Amino acid sequence: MKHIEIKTEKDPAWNNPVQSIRRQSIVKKSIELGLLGEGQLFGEEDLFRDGERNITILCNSKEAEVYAIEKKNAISRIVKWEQSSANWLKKNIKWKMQYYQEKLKSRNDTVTKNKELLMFEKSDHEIDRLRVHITRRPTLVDQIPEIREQTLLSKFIADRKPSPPPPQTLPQTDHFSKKPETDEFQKKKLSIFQGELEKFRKAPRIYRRKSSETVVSSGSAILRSDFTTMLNLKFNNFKQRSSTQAVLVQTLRSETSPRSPLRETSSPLNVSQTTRLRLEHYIPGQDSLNSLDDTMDLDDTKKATMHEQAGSPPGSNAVSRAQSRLLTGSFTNARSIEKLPLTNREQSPEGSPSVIRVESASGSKITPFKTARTLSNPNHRASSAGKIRVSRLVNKGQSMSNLDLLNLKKESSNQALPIHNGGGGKNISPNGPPLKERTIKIARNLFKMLNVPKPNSEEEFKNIHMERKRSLEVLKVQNAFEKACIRLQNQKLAELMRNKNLERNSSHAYLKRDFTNFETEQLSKIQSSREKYTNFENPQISSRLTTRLLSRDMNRNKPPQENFKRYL
Amino acid sequence: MEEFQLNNITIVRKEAEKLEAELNFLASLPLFKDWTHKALKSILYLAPIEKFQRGHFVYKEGDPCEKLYIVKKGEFRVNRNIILIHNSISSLGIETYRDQN
Repeated sequence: MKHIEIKTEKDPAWNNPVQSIRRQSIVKKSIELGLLGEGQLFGEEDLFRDGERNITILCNSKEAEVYAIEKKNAISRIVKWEQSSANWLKKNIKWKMQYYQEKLKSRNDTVTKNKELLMFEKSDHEIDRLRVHITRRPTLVDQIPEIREQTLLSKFIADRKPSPPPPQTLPQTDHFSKKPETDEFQKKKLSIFQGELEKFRKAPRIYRRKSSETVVSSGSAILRSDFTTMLNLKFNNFKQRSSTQAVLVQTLRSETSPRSPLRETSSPLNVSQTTRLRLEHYIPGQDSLNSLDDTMDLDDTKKATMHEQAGSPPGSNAVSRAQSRLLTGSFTNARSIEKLPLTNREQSPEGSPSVIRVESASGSKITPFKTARTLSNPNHRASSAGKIRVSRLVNKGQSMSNLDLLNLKKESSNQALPIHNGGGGKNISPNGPPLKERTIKIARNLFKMLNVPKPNSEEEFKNIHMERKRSLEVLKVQNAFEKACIRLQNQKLAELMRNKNLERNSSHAYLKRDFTNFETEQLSKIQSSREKYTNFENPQISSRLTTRLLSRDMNRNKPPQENFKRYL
Repeated sequence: MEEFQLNNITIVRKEAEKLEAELNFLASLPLFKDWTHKALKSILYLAPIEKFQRGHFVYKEGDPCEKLYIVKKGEFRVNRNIILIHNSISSLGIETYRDQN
């Protein structure tokens, strides 16, 4: 059993952290060790030692008396005079101390046994508070949207490969340049991404509009993925197939509708005119052929052959892509491909040159092709501007890949295949505006979803379209007819209800009429009775009777409220 | 005069009886078992009677020990202040403490 000294507020050690913790965690209590009666001693335990009292003595009865012998006298007269009494005192002190110790021990045991049942006012409160504090922390962290975003962004950054530098309109950020990614650098990244995200959230329309504008101004027009354009494209495909009976290669970027004003105004990259190309936007570290494969869903073997055809290993970068494009005939006039050294701004994160110059046979120059959007913003439409996609081609109802096309091309005595566009077979710029993947998928699955057979010709397509229109019109007519029917029914019901109400009102009126008749009859009766009463011989009696009867009748004729008052 | 003397005698007798009763009480105690009447008388003169009411403290923990008390009449409780410690460091238990007033 320890003995602790708890210091008061006056002491300098009161504000000691150890003391404060101890104060918080302890509960003071006074326990009863024993009860003393007549003839018993107390205070003798401290006779033989100099010190302070260890126990407190409290009066328990209404009036109590004690013999109080001073310490000096007790020692001089009791202890020294009588040895027997001194021995008895010592024994008594021992027995008392043992008794108190046992009592304390038993209490301690009970406390330790029933530890779970004990309630500590202060300590339990503190523990609960701490528990709540601890349990709240993770939930709070989850609930904070900023932290969520941060986590998402961190994932995004981790998964995503470094993208090319942002366009001119956006603030220049160096967070994609090759640097040792320290914590601070990552934080910077996060902050920038957050800023962009917030901007996008706050004013998404403006942001998009701005980006689209920049795109248009920079030269690579973005085609709005409309359904109508897709239909036009389909038309064009059908025309080409019917006319040439050959496999066609088209990039979906070049699949602009002939009606789109963007193509006329902003896409300056017709092959006839273009002599030099800068393919700035590709995903660094990602092979262009791989991207092609992704879009085309080619087999592995085909991929390999594709790489062979391109004359480059599978891991090569944009050069291979350009070469492949040359082979496929997308750049018919291209003469050679060169790697250009990059400026500081255009430097790719990998450090390798990412700009490819494609020179034409004529040697004329072209303004560098600028894409507006980077891949930093995945929500943007033009985020896939740098990807080259090859459309799925159909030859006599059979789908053919780009590889088949290449094989055919080899067979056809090294003649570059003509690039056809919809309608009049015009050449389309290979770097035309891209379409969103979603819209492509929708367009592909459109006929499947609508359960419409694939048309083989324009006429069939038109017929299908007309049928659909007709069916829609029929449906509209049917709906209108149904609505009219419902209206009529409602009108009929309303009329019926009105009639019923009228009938009800009429019946009520009839009852009222009867009641009035009844009243008149009653009045006539009263009048007749009055005449009777007045015919009495005794005038006094007759007058009394008449008054009484009259009052009764009047009361009857009075409204109910007055009657009720009278009754009260 | 005779009456006065008689009254005095009665008072003295009563006082003597009281004293004898007190001496007998003391003599009954185990502490003064073999004590003589004279010795008990001397002790009795050295031990004045103190009266207490319910709830009054005779002495508290930490007070200086000055006297020895013998209960003549009534009951007294013996208490001890303890602290229940509930720390993560020190397990729950009873410990005595002393306030430094």
